[in-house]
Amino acid sequence: MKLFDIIIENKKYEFVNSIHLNGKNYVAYTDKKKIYISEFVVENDNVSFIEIDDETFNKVKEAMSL
Amino acid sequence: MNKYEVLLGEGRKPYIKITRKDKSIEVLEGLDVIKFLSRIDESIYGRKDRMNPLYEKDQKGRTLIYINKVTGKNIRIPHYQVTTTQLMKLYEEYRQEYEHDKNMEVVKGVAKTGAIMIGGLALLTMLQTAQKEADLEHTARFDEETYKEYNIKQIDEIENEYHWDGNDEEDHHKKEIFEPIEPYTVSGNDASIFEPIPEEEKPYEIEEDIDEKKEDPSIIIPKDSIDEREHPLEYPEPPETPVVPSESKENTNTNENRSMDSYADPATNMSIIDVDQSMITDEGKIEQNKQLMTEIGNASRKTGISYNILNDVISQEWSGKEKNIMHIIPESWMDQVITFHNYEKDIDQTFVITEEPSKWAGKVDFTITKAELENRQTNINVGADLIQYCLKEFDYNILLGLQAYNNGINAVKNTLEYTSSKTGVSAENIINDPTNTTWMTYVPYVINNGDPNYAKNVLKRETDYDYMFSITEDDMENYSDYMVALNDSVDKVYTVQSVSDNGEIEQESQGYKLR
Repeated sequence: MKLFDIIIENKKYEFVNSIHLNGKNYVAYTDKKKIYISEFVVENDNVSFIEIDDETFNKVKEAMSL
Repeated sequence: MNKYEVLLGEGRKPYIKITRKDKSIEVLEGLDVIKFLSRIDESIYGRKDRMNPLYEKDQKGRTLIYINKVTGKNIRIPHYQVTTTQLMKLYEEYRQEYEHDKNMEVVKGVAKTGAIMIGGLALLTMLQTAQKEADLEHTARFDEETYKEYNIKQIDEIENEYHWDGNDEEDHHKKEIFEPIEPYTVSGNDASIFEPIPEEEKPYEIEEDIDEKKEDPSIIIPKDSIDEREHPLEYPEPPETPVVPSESKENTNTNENRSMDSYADPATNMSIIDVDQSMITDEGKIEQNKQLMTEIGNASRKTGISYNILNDVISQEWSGKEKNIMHIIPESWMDQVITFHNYEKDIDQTFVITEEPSKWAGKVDFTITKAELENRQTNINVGADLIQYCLKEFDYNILLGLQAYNNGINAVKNTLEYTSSKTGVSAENIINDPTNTTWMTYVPYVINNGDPNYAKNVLKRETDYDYMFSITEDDMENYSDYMVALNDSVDKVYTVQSVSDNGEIEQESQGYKLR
């Protein structure tokens, strides 16, 4: 569904899931090869993806049932 | 018009501010917002098809609801347009339906900036964030039983003079229910704790025209949300030496429907009649306008053109006297095959406006003569068909489509080509970007007929044209149904008096009461 696509550097990713955890937003998205998990911050029309640490990654992954 | 404003922003819960005609304010926050949007949504959840802009048509991933217009700002929701709740439902559907390869490796994403997340998702995230942070149940400001009494129709009753029941006692009761509460921010990771915003950090100011609430710090709206648009439709300065392409003028006299603005009051630039206004103020026209609303609803359902748009076009075009309510100029469309999608039958249909129907027998689905255009329902239907036809020509860019309805499709295409030559932005890109209104600058230099500000004049009746992009036909289809149902439920007509502070009656008008 294009509504939920994510565009990064002109490459389109499919949205998998998103959650709000401990005051931060996390999103999972895929290029059909791997699923990526990032924290994200909405700024104007753009979204900044922030790399997360291992502990957070595991928590989010579990919360998203991935 | 009813005025709902929703604030969605990081670190704040969303709220809906309801401004009544008497300028008193009610604020819904937290769960009430979700419930309010859900209530609206229950009646308007849209069909999934090509005209539903929730389904992105832009191949470049452009947002439909622009994030920078919703983050930390008020969203004005004209009555029964797309709501965030629709997005939430879509989102839930998506999540239920989406399946990824369970064996796919899950890894950490690297830091990146400048990603584009389609607007709906960002909006949803904000709402969901707000929903969780609010810990909804305990922040609801009134209990479920009270809420049951407060539904969308009652909000309408409160707000809209059109069906205000004139009961001041009940009015007062609702004021008590919705006494505004102190705004707050989210503190750290404990989402259930909220701290008042320090006075010096409040980035908002009190709306100036709300006199009685000026002293109340909880009534706040962002500075930049008041009549200030990112892409204003104000008429820009013309180019110093405009060059009119010679071939452009040759093609500008087709398909036009000249605006009745040429007959309007030049001082106010307002059209002669406003359908909504006449509906509530002219007792003699009440029945007539109820019928008109039904007819607009019929055309809206058939063509997918929103009730509001048709209403706005009629308000713009109609003098209130003539039969050609949509101001269709038959000569402009004569013997031209028009294809439109009939949403009631879910089929494409063709017709021509012709004085020789026999010539077209078997070639099109139906024909319309000039005489038949004098039938009001036919006139509205054909006008709506033509608007849909124009919109389709410009990939449902509503501004361009409306302008084409007035000036003609070829004329608008010529304008786009000219704009492209001046700005370097291709016509295709202009069409795909509904926020790009640079072409309006060049209309008078390419088109020498009709109203160069037609689209602006039509949409000025909406509270915020930006969000017209969010209209789906089903929203308005249901809106039309609602309005028709409302008509059917009209029980009694009241005389509504506007009373000044010193007790003098300033104005009397008609109001309805729902059964």
